[in-house]
Amino acid sequence: MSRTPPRRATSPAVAVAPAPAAPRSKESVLAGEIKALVLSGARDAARERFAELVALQQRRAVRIAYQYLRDVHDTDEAVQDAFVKVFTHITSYREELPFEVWFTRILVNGCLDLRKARARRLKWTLPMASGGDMTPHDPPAPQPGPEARLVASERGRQIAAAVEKLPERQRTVFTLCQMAEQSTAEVSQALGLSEATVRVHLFRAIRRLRKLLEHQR
Amino acid sequence: MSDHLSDDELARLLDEHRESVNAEADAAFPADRLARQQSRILARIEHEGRPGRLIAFPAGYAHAPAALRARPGMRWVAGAAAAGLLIGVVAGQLTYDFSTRDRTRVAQVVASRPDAGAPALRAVSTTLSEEEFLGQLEMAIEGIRPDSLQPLDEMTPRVWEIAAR
Repeated sequence: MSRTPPRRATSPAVAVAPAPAAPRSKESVLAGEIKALVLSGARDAARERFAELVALQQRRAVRIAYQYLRDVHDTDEAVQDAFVKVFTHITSYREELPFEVWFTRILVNGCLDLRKARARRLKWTLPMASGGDMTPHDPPAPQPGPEARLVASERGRQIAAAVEKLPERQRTVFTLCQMAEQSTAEVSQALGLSEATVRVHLFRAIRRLRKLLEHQR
Repeated sequence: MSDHLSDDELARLLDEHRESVNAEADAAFPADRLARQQSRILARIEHEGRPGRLIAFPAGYAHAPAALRARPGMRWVAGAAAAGLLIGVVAGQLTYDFSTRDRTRVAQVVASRPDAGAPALRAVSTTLSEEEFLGQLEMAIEGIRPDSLQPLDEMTPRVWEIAAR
């Protein structure tokens, strides 16, 4: 598979030194304003602006969290926690970075923590499955439809199960690049890794997924 | 279907999967649910800025230590009472132990010398005759008889006189 680069055009954040002419996203501008308001003590005004920021990023956040957790309640919790953390630590936001990258990092870390907590919970509350392989909850079945949808759904379950078997770092990189459609540069900033490391993890993840999916055919 | 998964095929599978999961997420989080989520986030943020609310302890628990803190003499009195009680119990226990031990020792000594206690007691005669007993009884009541009954008493024969006949 030749496709390791992201599907999106490389963002301005790829450059090591941010280009001064690069336009900042609306989210980044808003986050800068909220930070200034909080620092000046105008918390009520900051909260009002934060509502706008939540509205801009909420759908994307839900999709990313759902890719990780595949559970509606956990997704809800992870997204809420991430936004609350963002507001609580808004004064440490570095305005030279895109807000989306900073937010994604917080969200992904929260999702990973929730996954670990869920695994612990399952370990102590449910008997192990006979296969011994712990897979996440099955995603809710899509609306009943024609046979093609069922086949697609089954294939989707196979892919989800294969993604679950990836090592954590590979799974995170794969999910962010492939599922959240982030560039390798954005992922490297979000995870605090070099871009080359992100590319290696992505390559290995896709190679492993291919093997796992070929086994299932 | 061959076992080998071509690059294009894999890319297509992953794209389909992504679209499918995104559709699931969108279906699970419709606009009204997102609105509820947003209001919850804002409510949590509002609470974040406030200092933590202190919950008072129940009155019963709060007042007793406060009273003791206000009057340290009370603590001394309570401590002395407790110490006195403890000392009394211990002393009582020790006294009881010693007295029990002494009594046991005396009993053991007496038991080891069976003839030691014999002379201390005088044998009480259990062979008092019936006449002697009745005579003693008459003599005892002689002092309390009224004068009007004196002639009648003299006419009445005595026990020992009858017995002598």
